[in-house]
Amino acid sequence: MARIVAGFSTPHTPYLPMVVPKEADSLDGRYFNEIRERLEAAAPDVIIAFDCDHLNSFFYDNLPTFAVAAVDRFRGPSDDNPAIAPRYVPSHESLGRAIHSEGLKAGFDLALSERLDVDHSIMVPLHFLTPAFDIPVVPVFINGLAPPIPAGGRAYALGQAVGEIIRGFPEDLRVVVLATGSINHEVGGPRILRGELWGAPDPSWLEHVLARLRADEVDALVSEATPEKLASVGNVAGEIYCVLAMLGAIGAGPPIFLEPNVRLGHAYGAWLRTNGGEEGR
Amino acid sequence: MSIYEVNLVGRRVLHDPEFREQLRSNPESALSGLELADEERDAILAGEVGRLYELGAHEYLLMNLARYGVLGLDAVTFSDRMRGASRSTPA
Repeated sequence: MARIVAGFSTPHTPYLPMVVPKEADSLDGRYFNEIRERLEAAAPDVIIAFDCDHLNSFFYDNLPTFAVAAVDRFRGPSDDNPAIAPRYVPSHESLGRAIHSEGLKAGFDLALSERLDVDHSIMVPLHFLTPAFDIPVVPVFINGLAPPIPAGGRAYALGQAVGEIIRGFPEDLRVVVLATGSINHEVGGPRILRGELWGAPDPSWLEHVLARLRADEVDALVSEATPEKLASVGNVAGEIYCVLAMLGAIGAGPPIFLEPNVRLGHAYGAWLRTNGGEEGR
Repeated sequence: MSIYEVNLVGRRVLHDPEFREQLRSNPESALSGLELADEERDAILAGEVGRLYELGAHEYLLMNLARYGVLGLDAVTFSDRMRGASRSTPA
């Protein structure tokens, strides 16, 4: 049977691949390294990646709230990143298909994609975490960007359902669950900084989220992370839904690593599965 | 309202290099195939991204206009016009 061995959370800010190599000992470079080393130690056969997209994979002509890819590979980034040449990344079609069909049975009507291009939300983390892009990745999409977004409890419950599906999957696989995105962040909206295209409007929310995560108060965080609250924080603050889903999937306790970049409004985290799973090899 | 078509401009400037070039060299002709309200067309041609946001366009898509420097937009003009824009409920 498949086993979830760890959960990770990283930002996916598209300019990090451009700036990190230029800054000696940058926070983001160090933290991405930290997560990469932990991911390598977890030795996954497959990565499940919860991501929010940015109206690139999915657009208003057909915009799902939840979706999963059942593909043997996908392509990205589709949104022009100077530091990442577009390429194919292997996926795990039968696991993606199981998440779709078993998800339906569990009450999650995920859209199904059999051909997917992804944007920086998947490719930036992979650029740092699996530089050879050789570990199969199954993208699971949650709309956290284009209102109306779902309730936080739905994202968490989707994660719980995906966790159950992984644990019931008959292949012997080591699975890592990855969440990508920012926590306190605005991109292109009214709360950006003067002369910039981004801002980090509400540092107190990031601080609050980190405190909740460190104290393993996930249920409280889930009930606080309403669409209204997240809209008041920043226009991409809904990306925290990916963290909630990841935590739901792995059934985590407190993080074993959690460090923020307060200026940019994001954080890097690592969790081990605690409810009966095997922790590392 | 045809805010879908406004959002499409933001999408195509990123994903369609030919459209991007046309928007740069001849914006009126680039928009000719889109079903835009006059108010939307005028705001796009003027690079009034704050107004487009208030009309309901998604700001993340509007940002692509500044990213590619079309319609007289860059980070400075974009942020000047977007900062302080408001609408009552998220579109």
